[in-house]
Amino acid sequence: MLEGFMTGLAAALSFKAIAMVVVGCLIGTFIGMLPGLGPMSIIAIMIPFAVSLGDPTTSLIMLAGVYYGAVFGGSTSSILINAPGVPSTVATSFDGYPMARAGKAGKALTIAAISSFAGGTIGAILLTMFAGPLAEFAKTFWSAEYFALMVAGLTAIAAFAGRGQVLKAILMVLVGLMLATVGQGALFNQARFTMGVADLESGVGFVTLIMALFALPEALFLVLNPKKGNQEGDGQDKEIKDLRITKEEARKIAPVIGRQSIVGFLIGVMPGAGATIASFIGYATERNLASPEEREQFGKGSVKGLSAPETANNAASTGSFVPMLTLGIPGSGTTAILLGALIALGVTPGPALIDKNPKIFWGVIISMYLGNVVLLVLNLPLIPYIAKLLTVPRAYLIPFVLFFSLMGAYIGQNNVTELYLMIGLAAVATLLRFADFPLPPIIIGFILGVMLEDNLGRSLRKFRDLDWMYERPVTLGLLIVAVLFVLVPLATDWRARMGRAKQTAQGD
Amino acid sequence: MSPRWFTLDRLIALVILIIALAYINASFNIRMLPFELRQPFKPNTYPLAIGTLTAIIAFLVTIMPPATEEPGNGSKGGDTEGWREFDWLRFAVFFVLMIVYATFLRAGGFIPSTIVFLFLGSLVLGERRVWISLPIIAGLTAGLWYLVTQVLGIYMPAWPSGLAGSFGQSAQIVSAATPLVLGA
Amino acid sequence: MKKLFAGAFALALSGTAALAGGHQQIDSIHFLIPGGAGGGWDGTARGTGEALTKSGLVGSATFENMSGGGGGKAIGYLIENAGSSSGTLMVNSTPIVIRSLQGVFDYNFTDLTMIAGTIGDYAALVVGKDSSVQNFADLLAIYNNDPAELAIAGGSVAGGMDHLVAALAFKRAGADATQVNYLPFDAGGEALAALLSGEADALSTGLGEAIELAKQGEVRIIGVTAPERLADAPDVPTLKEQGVDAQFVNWRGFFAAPGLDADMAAAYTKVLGDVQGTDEWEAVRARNGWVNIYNPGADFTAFLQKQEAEIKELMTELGFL
Repeated sequence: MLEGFMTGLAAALSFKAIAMVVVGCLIGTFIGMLPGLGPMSIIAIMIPFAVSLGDPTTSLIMLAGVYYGAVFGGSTSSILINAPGVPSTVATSFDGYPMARAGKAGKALTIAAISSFAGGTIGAILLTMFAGPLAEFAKTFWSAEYFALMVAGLTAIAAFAGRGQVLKAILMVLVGLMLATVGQGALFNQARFTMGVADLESGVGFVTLIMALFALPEALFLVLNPKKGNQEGDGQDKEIKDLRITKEEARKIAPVIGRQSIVGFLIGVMPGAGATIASFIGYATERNLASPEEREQFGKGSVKGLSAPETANNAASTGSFVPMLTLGIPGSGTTAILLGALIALGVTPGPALIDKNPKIFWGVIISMYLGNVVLLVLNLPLIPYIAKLLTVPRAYLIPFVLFFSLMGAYIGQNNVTELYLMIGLAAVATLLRFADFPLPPIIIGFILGVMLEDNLGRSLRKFRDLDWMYERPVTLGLLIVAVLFVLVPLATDWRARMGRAKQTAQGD
Repeated sequence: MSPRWFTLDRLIALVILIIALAYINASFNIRMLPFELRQPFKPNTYPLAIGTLTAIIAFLVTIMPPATEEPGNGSKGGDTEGWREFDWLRFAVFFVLMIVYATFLRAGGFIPSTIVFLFLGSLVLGERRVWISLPIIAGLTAGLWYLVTQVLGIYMPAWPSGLAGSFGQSAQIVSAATPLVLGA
Repeated sequence: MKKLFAGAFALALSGTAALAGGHQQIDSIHFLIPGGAGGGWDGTARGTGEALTKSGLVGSATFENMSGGGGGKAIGYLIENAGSSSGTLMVNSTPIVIRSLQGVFDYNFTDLTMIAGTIGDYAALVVGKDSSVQNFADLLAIYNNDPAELAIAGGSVAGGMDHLVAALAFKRAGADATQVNYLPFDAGGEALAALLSGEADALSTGLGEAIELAKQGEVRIIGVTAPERLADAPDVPTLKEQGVDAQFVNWRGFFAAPGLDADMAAAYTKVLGDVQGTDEWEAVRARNGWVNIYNPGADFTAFLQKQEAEIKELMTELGFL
């Protein structure tokens, strides 16, 4: 093992390889900021170029740079303009955007960069040490376990169920689940709930919905209320660019990073789960582990709430390489494309890879370490400039955010109906905000809903009853965790309401 | 806010209740293939479950006691405070702008439509220095178009379809006219 | 430095580094892709375009993604704009037949001008390496005993292609094909994972998806829907040689607008065939693991009509329609 590692290391540390990883990181970061172009499409676009480099190790290292860059670039648009371009950075916007709104964009980006780095690196270490046994672990997950995992992921909505908001948050998640059933799914041979609209046959687009719920209403609110922005933004130039994290904040996020690297990685190892689920579960877990005062801050700009999903989604992305490298199974869209790249390079992933082609196997793993380090070194100095985008005058910033949001659904699809749908949904979202309905639960329900139904449906077909919910220990365990995640905030809400009722009763 | 019964959130919950009932109705009407009727998990099994749950929760929200404002819970409500003074006209203008932009994006070509959209947007938001805004907007639009179409290889016609032959093709493309194929 | 790389990309990506070869047959082709960037249709069109332009057979290629309606939007667009679309080729594949039969589209694929089938993949039935099933007869025995005990995973919807292939095999073996306990997955990779985890007892998928793992001994392919053994996989038995005449090929190919001039249609058909003899095509083909099944013009039309009739009969019998 050590010998293989050294061979890979030597290949990775050549000048050409390092130059390529730097180029890859830069390209990934900047293209990744464009909504709608996630790591998957960027890698797909870059593969012919990578293949043309000739040497497989160098190609892979460059692609790793593109990948990590794209993931970080995606987080940037989530944090700065509340426009997550891919599902795995949705949870990042929950606390990242409020931080940026409070003038701490530089800090938020730094926490995101450090959490990504740590998640990716710890993930790579776990991958180096335990790839083999983990592949066996991944094989224990059936649809039943995935179903339970989705249920646990749904509990991330608890963060948006403030006092008196529990029912509203549940209602919103249900709306998201209903939206997810529109169109053709993986289970059934017909498009459902399309209301005769042909464009809905492939469902509501993720980018369409996320821009309609998050980015467009934010920008439009600035149009609506000209006074508000004037207090923020101006005169805070220094703070926006300020990267520094206080000692106290560092102390807060350190354990989060430690836990979420491991949990996120394990979730990523499952071929049917992936970075998005990991980020939601990471968010939900950390919120439940936090002290009551810290819990209040989740969804409003908590450093823990930002660090948890960023760590978890990067660790999970790394984890998704386990089934790809050891079993030859792509666990996510991105690894499916990378698998294609490997095959294009004449390498066949699978159980024999370590023995037959150690240089590639270790080359991939070392490229992860290198990609993460380069990303951090490269992007930390860039953060002040990226954050400064927010100080662009309103008259430009708002039209551009609207334009970027619309483009996110249009680029590469050329389907104008998606744009009308987005604008219509944005109007609905604005109305919902006026009525104090929390919007993030809609998107959580929408993302998890499809997998929830698919895995439930498969399990019912496999077992023909519901006994698996308590007969399969891992399923049962995950379902219990999910119930606990729900009961904790419900109980506090109920207690608060009781207390208030007593007060008013005495007041009368 | 006074604890009136008929608040906006109740109204919305009522609308969601109606939508949920329509959704349940639509679930019963999903056209099922003969073999699916034999399956334990039918195309409408899950929709019926979540539709019913949605209807129940929406109903509960309509009858729930008002969520009284708590001190320190104002961060979300803060957005909508003082809505009477909001600039609703400008808000509406932007919606119209977006719809018009979407409508003309394909027919008008990416570059002209986008420049007009961004320019009018900045004008509405108070940028009067046209000599500054136009070059910036035109430059950014062209740059983005170049990145997306020429570097990333994604299709997006730059000009109205009639003009495509004259400007639309880049130098890399050997020749834009199609005499051999089109030539009768 | 960055500019330099951007230039390098443009070259590598758009693949328009046209060789000055004198054998250019067509000046330019506009590829219409009925799905988003990054999907299977997208890869087929872009790969084909790359080989065509790099080999110099075609001067330039442009690509337009038009998603919506599961591919139906692009079909509608091509038919409605037939007059101005003589330079356009649309990529498509087997599901266009299935979905046309189901009445998903406003139009039928037969409304289009059929140019050629270019690449394809045979379907395969696969079991895990530790499975007791050694051949199709073993699988059939389990199925006949209790179909519910045999969970078969696949990467398409219930009633879709992978389900259809499994049912076809059982039907041709004389069993009641309506009882297949099919577990649909979002993609072939996930279905493969379900096979390895033991959730599924067998897998119905494309041969290309399973062949590498089979070569490493992780899974066993018990039958492929090809007419005879394949040169790339000589150890893989066909279903036919096991006495089950279940043949199926998942093709990908190109269509043009209705009413296209016959000479032009012939030119497209020819160039798609000629390209398969070039090194540039071979590079793209190998990179994507495609199998050449060049099927030109009239043959393609006849093939599609035959496939449509077969699938229709099978789907009606199975209750898929």
